Amino acid sequence: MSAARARGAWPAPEALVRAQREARARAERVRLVVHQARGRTGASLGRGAGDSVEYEDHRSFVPGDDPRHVDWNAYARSGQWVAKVFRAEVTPAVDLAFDASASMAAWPGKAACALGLFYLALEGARRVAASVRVHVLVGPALETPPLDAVDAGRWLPATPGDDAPPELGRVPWRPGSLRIWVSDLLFVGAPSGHLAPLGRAAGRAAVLVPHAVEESAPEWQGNLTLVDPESGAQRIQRVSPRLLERYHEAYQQHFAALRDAGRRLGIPVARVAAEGDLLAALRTEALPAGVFEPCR
Amino acid sequence: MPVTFAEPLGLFALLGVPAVILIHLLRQHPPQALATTLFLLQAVAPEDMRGRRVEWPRRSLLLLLQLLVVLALAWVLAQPRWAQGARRLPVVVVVDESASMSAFQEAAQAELTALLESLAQGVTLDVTLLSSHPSREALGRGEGPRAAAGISAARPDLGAHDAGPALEVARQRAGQDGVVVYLTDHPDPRPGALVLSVGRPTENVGFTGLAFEGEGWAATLQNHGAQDALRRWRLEAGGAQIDAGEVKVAPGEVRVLRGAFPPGAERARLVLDADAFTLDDTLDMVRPRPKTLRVAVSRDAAGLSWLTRLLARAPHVVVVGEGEAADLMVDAGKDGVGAEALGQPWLRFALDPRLEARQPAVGVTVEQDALTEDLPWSGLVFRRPPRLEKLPPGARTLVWKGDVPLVVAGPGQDLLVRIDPRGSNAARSVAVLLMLVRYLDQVRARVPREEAYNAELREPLTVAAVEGAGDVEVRGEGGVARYSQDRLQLLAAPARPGAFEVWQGEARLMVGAARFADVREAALVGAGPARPAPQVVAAVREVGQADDPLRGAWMLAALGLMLGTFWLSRGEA
Repeated sequence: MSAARARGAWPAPEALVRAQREARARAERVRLVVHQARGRTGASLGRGAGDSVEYEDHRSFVPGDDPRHVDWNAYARSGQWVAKVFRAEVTPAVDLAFDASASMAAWPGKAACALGLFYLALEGARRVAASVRVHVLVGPALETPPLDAVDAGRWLPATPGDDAPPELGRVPWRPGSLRIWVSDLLFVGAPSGHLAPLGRAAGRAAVLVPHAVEESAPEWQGNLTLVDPESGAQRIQRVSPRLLERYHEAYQQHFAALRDAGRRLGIPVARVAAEGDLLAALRTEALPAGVFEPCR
Repeated sequence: MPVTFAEPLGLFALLGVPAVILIHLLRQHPPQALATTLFLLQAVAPEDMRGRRVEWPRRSLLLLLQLLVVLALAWVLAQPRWAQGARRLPVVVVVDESASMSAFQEAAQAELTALLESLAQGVTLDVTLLSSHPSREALGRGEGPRAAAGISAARPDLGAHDAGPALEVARQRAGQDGVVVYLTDHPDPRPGALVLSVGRPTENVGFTGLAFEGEGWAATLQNHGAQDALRRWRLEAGGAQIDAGEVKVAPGEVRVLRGAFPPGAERARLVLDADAFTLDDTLDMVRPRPKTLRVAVSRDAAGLSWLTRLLARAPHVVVVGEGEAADLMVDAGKDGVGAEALGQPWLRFALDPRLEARQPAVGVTVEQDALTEDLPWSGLVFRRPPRLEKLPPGARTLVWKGDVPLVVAGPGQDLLVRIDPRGSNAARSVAVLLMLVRYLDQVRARVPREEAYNAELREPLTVAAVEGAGDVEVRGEGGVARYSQDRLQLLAAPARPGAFEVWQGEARLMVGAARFADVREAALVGAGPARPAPQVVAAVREVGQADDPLRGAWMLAALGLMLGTFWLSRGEA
């Protein structure tokens, strides 16, 4: 196993452009759910009341309300000043954060899955004319590449960073933005502490978690030299069936804790298997969690 | 088809199998695997579950090829041989039946069985067991290694003898493809035979001789070993212990035990504490009682003073007076043979009446006879006797002067001496005196009278058997040996130590005791082991076996496997 392979490597820019092209095709079938996002006035329905033609509710007219929203028919019937409330039309803000640590590119399938999720979210945001920002996190490092660079496939670091967990607290989340965090969540530490920054500044968030079968059901047996792709650390380990069983339990508990934390924070955590078709993999957790929805 | 190996040492190459596995165990590195969840594994794997240094190799093509190389090389080096059909191998075993083998009888069967088993790989053995003495009957026949049990029929009681004739007979019986095995106890290379020596240097102290001095006995005792020995002995007679003692004997030393014959006893036995060689640990004896020859001397012969002195000094001869029964009549006077029929043997000296007529003459011619053999006649000076006109039937001239008989043996046991003692030096002639003593012994031996005699094992015996009275039996502790009249010259003491008696019909001719006295067989320090070399055994087995027809293919396979191993090793490097 070469050193570069051991540390994980992202595909070349040309491959990233191809992946983005494939994501555009997939975006015809599923779309990113952004309708409750807040943002500047724009073309998308916002979470609050606004000036769109989309009726939402009635309420008592109070001084300061736009007189055009008085429901005259209701006034004629009841003599009460009733105002119509319409949904606001906003330009949603979507902040895409991508975990570019080496573990995300440990296996080609997992890297392709991670990039597929990222590009699908990007294309979904663009289809609703959202204001999109991309943040790339490698450990404590944070980069916010311009979208031109993203479209050119030149937004990922050439070499993986260290094995420190990404610091989401350093990301300049925009208020009210939809935060999509693409990460395998393979970090040590309290799950809630890790996910909490996603919900700051009245934002709505979702976590897309690519995972490979090499992680969920590894075929480890006997003596192995296990290599951490992020730190390069090696560990000679004799893996017995009993140890493998305990590992499976730990793996399940790790993500169960993350789901619980996400549930408490209102942040859906959707795991997506790297094996097989990506759209099919989305149906397992991402669609039920409301991160994506099928296009009608 | 059974297979054997011409070079079994080649199978030691199989030691390469564990060696190769060990090398793989020590050299192998655990395979690498990416683990993005190493922190999870570290949380559940305590330190003491870290990997072992050595683990059974998994699916290694290189290991498989190297093991095949080792197996192929071992197969080629061991040189397999394939037996062609159901081959039978004649094996003739010549069993040394000398007395010294009695000390190694048990080891002999085990060793012979082992040798036959090594020969029997891929073949069926037709085993014949022969005695080392060609006069003895075959000990048995059988098939396969089990035939070695037949040596229990061997009787190791012979003295030192040459096994050459028996080996020659064995070679003829074995044929060109057969095998001859010489089973003995002293390493003794024999051309054309596999020598299997089962002996080992063994200490032995035993009796070697017996003499009588008046009423006392003197037994010689020798230490044939290489170490000092302290042995206890005892004298038994009539079932009771008469005397006992200890004797210390240095290596090679001969000691003499003396004692008086137990009063009133006719037999006695000296016994030593038993050792590995038991034949010489007992010494049976009888009170010596030789036969006496009763001799009557005529008045004319009594005038020959030298003759009366000779008769008085001759052993076991008694001169009887007139009228008493005699076994032999001695006379002097009339010349001639066969004219007198006295009913008993006679010895006559012919006196020449022409006392002053002739000068002494010298020079005689002697016939081959037990009486005259090897006697020095050249110093005899005598007067030439007159011619004898006619010899009676059965008479035979033993000594001649020209064509004149000087000594004539008549029919029966008569002897005519025609040398006049008065006109010759016969009284001082060693030849004449010894001839007369021999004659007296001959006559005495044929006297039908019982005697008591101490003999060595298988010592030829002379008894005065009566013609027409039936066979003669030697009754010993080991059984009865029967001799017909025409085989009496083979009469001998028993082959096993102990008391014996010689009978003819109802007449007991001899009471005796047989003792072991062959010091060559008793000396066991020279005994030693010797086994046929493995390559010799293998060469014997190979007769009639074919080389492995695929040997070339195996070598090519080994070469190919080695190249494959080299290629794989290079790839790994």
